[in-house]
Amino acid sequence: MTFYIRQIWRGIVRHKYKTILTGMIGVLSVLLLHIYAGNMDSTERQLKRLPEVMRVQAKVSNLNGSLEEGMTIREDRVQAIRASEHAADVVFTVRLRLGFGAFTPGEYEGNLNYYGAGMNAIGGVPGLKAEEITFFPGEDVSALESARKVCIMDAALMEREGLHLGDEVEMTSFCYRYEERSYEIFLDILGTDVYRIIGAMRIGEYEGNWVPADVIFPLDCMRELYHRQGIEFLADSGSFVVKDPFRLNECKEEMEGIGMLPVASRADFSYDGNALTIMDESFIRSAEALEENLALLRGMLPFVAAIIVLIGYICSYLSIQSRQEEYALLRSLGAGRGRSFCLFFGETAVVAAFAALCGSVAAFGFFSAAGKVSAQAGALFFFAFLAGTAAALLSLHKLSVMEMLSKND
Amino acid sequence: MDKIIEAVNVSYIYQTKYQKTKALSEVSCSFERGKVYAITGKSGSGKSTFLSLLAGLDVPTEGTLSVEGEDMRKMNRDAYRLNRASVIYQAFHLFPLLTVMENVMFPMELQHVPKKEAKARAQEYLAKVGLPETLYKKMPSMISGGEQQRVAIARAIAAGGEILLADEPTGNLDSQNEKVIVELLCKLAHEDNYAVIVVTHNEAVAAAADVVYGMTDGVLSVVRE
Repeated sequence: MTFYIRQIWRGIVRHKYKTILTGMIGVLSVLLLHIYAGNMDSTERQLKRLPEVMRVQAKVSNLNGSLEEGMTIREDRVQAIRASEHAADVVFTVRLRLGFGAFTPGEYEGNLNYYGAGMNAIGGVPGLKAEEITFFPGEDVSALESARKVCIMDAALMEREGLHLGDEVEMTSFCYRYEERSYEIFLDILGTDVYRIIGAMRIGEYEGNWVPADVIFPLDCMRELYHRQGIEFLADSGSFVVKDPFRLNECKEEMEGIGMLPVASRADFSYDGNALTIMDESFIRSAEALEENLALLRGMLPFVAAIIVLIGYICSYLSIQSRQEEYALLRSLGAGRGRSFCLFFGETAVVAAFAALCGSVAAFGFFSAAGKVSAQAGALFFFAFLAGTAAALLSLHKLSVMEMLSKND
Repeated sequence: MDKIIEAVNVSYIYQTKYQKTKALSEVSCSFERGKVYAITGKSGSGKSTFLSLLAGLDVPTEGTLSVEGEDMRKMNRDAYRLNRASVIYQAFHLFPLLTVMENVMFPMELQHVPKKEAKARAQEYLAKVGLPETLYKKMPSMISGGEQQRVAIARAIAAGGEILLADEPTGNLDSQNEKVIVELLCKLAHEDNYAVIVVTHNEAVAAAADVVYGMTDGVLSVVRE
């Protein structure tokens, strides 16, 4: 091994101009490969990050797509969507009317003054941001995911009523009932309960179509009120984000299994929230474009590798033209074909490794290349260049040693 | 008789895509230690081809070439050149980027001789061929042709072999250096028991040889024994 190291080092130093030239060609090749590998890596990353950047939103609607709120979404569908592995950031809401204190349906006039909503996340109030809610110490938005008897109240309403965070307040609530045949809307009592105020909200820019809720309750708390009264729970609106848009078809299949059909614009009007509008067009278009780009870049890989093999072949072929005598002499002195090959190949391998390293460092400086890209470009250059070198060196084996050394000059 | 190489009916055919050329035709001869052999003949007569076979750079197309009874075809010919036979060329063929000392040390490095020992032995061989110590660190291009050929001889014997093959060793030298090299080769044969085989045009070199073979169109004949 010492012999090889010494001879290889000697060869590199003593053929310094060839070494420098090969090294420079190598560094330039590595830089060019960085552009190629970097492009591929960037496209791969864009594709990977696409679901984060371009979220695929799904909204529950009625079958003809004319309603996205004010619907009747069956409880089994609500729960199935909430439990689905394909759905993230699921938000379901239910609309209510309410008033302070205890009163009967007959006493609604003068008492039923406020709008309420049950929801499992604050996304149920369009435009409401978490920072627009002041919570009682120890409480946060996660309370909406529970079935506790708590509420978030409009700050202005609290001021008017002289209420504070942490206060317990008695309220009587009513739910909506939609009559499919006559298109009439009725109110059914859900009962009187005491709720603790855990948050005060001050909505900056309300973006919804309906009257903004004065009080927000946890969705599951409201579901329990429906059950207590023996009323079928029906959600008012629903939406979610497709967790993995690359498995969109699986998601659609599951939703159809739940009973959520694709929107059919020619269908009759209905309050039944049994359709799903998935806003996937932009995502699909972008993903397809990126995948096409990536396939093209990957398809170019054999050609790029072939170019580097060719560069390695040409560099080594030209270099050994002036070193044929040296090779013949090595053979004449008893160095076998393998040994002579290893000495020449070793020199190029060291230069190629150095060029790969320098090229990667330069690429890091020029293009701020990522470590993975540098490793890919460096490795591709190293192996392809050496494959070319090996091919060039094998041509030396055809050389007639005696013929080469019998020349008189 | 101390026979080291024996050729029995050795023929060699150069074959290209379109033609076959018989370079050697049923050559039979033998070479002994302690003698200088000269093979003479015109250019293209097959001398260098025969030398190439003797050096183990190729094998006969027909016939048998054996080294101490071992068929050249079956032996490791790289090891044979590394340890037993060395070739000296007309154009010296020293490594141009190695110093005189490094050139002589090179075969020993190939044999994995420790560097210190190789250096000591190289000094000994360079002294044996009469090269002044002041030249040891010079590059080959900085010394004369005669000196370069002496370095080539030192390198050849540095491997510790017993067969010295020379292809027109004095072809590029003046008469004074030619005399020195011929004397050196004779000394190596007669005093150090090398089998020295010289391919030459030169009559003075042939005259100094113990045995002279002539080669005409690939056929070997004894000129003087």
